[in-house]
Amino acid sequence: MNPAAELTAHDGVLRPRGDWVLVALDPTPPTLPPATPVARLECSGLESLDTAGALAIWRLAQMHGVEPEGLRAEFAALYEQVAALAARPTGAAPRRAGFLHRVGARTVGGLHDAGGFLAFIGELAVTLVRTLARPSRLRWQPMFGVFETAGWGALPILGLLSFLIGIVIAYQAGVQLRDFGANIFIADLIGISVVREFGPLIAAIIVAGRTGSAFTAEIGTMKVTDEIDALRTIGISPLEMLALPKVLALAVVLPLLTVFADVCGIAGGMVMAQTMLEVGFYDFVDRLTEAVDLSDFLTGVGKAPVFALLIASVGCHQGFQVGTSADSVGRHVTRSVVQSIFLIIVADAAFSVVFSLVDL
Amino acid sequence: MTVAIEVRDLRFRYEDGPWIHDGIDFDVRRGEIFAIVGGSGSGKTAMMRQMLLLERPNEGTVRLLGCDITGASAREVAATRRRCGVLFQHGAMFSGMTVLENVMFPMREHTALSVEDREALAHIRIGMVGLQPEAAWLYPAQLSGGMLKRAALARALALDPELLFLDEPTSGLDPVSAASFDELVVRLHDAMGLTIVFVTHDLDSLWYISDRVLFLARSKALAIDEVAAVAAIDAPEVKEYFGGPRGRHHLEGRWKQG
Repeated sequence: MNPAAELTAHDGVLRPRGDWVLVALDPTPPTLPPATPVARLECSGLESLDTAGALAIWRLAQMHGVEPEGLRAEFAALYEQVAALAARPTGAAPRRAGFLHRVGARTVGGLHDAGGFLAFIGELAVTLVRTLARPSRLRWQPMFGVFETAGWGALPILGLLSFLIGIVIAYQAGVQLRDFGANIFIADLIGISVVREFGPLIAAIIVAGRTGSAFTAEIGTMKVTDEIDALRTIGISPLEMLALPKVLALAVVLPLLTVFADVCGIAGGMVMAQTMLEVGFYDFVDRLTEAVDLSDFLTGVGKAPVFALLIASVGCHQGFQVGTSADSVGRHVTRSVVQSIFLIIVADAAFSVVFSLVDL
Repeated sequence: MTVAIEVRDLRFRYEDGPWIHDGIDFDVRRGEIFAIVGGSGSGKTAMMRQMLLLERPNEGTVRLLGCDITGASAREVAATRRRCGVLFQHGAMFSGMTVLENVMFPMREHTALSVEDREALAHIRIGMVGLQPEAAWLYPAQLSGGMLKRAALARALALDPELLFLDEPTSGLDPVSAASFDELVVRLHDAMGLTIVFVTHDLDSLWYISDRVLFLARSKALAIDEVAAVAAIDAPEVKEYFGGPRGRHHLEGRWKQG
């Protein structure tokens, strides 16, 4: 039988009966109009009582200004406890800070973050110099792990995306070139844009999403489970053990991935050039070797180590920033991806400005 | 109905591993504080996880509050779960919510109470487990170990359960906090008429709060009895468990009293 709570009033005597338990009182306990004259609250009819029931009885007693009578001995202890706690002030929730306060706090927080990141890079550089002084301390095992997961593992997705981007650029450019009858210059366009810009950017953005986030999550989870502190107490620098191998390995892997992205992007462009502009593979490659010279290739691939340093150091830094909770891991992983992609594009723009100044 | 939990012919193993439980029977009576003990790896936690249906036994039945959870429909299981509260070993408080929100959470999911009522009940439960009112606004990461266990207990009690499961309630607490936590459990048991099942390594809790003890060893229920009777059994596992340097002072204390 389902529990049921009842409340009756007769000759000024208020009688709660039955089961005053949470299930029966959900969503609202039985009440009487406040005007009902009440002289006594007679609780001997209660079959069962839990915390929710005790609170409802206490509220009845408060509303009508009476004390419950005839509570069974086994309910009295619970009622006393609940009554005492219900009367206890709970204090107000901490007030939400005002708009100006929040703006200020975020600004200061952002500056603090940027300062922290610079300090982290400095610390990383010191660790690098110290490790290079004693190369035997370099940890190869985790580096090979990064080669495999960040490099080899990224090939399929990176290849596919670069190929598709090559197709997209070739299509957009091809429409214009065809109007001028300059079909063969598709090779110049594809070659230079992919090798100098798109290859390095796509590779870096994919690695930031795949690998930078993984670095943050890995280090952040170790932070939550106190593993970072454990390393420190064993006398191992967490930077040397966790961050340095990742940074160095990614600086090797990303240029290689960039070359791969270049090849796939150009292949995509070639396919589109043949089907849309009737520029055959042979003519395309022939033109490509004239259009793209070594300096184009090197300016493109040369950006990759810089992007790699940005991704890996942002990823590791955000990992070390994680607090003690699961949601803090999520927050910092998000921040890691957003910041590294932001920095990649800022750095790329800076490269463009510098290259245009020195006329590369 | 005087039986809260009924376990019959329970057999359990992980994948193709050795049998962790090989034919175990026991009853937990209503209103008692029932301890599950045994050496490391004897399947205490696995037993509790089966009672919570976090693991499914390979054979046998588990009846919780009259409902055969091994064969029941999802709805019946959900209804039974609503009548059980669980305190996990490390608290398992949701880290993105304050203590108050954590305690209100089960009520929000399972009742139609108004926000004010849920808040009032949550504050009462936070008080019942001995936390200060200010603790309600803190996040789990800001609590000490003892406070965290108390807050987790408040969440376990959120729906006024009839059955309360405690997994290593005093592990990770200093002796003073552990003793006061034991006291709290007994007080809540008396006030709310709870049936409590707990897994423990803490011999102090075992002696002070348990009514009966299930001793697991060799994949069997080696003994089910009051703690003094179990401790007196002549079996190597029992001797090792109770007779170590940490257990001996309890035995000696009992004998001197008797």
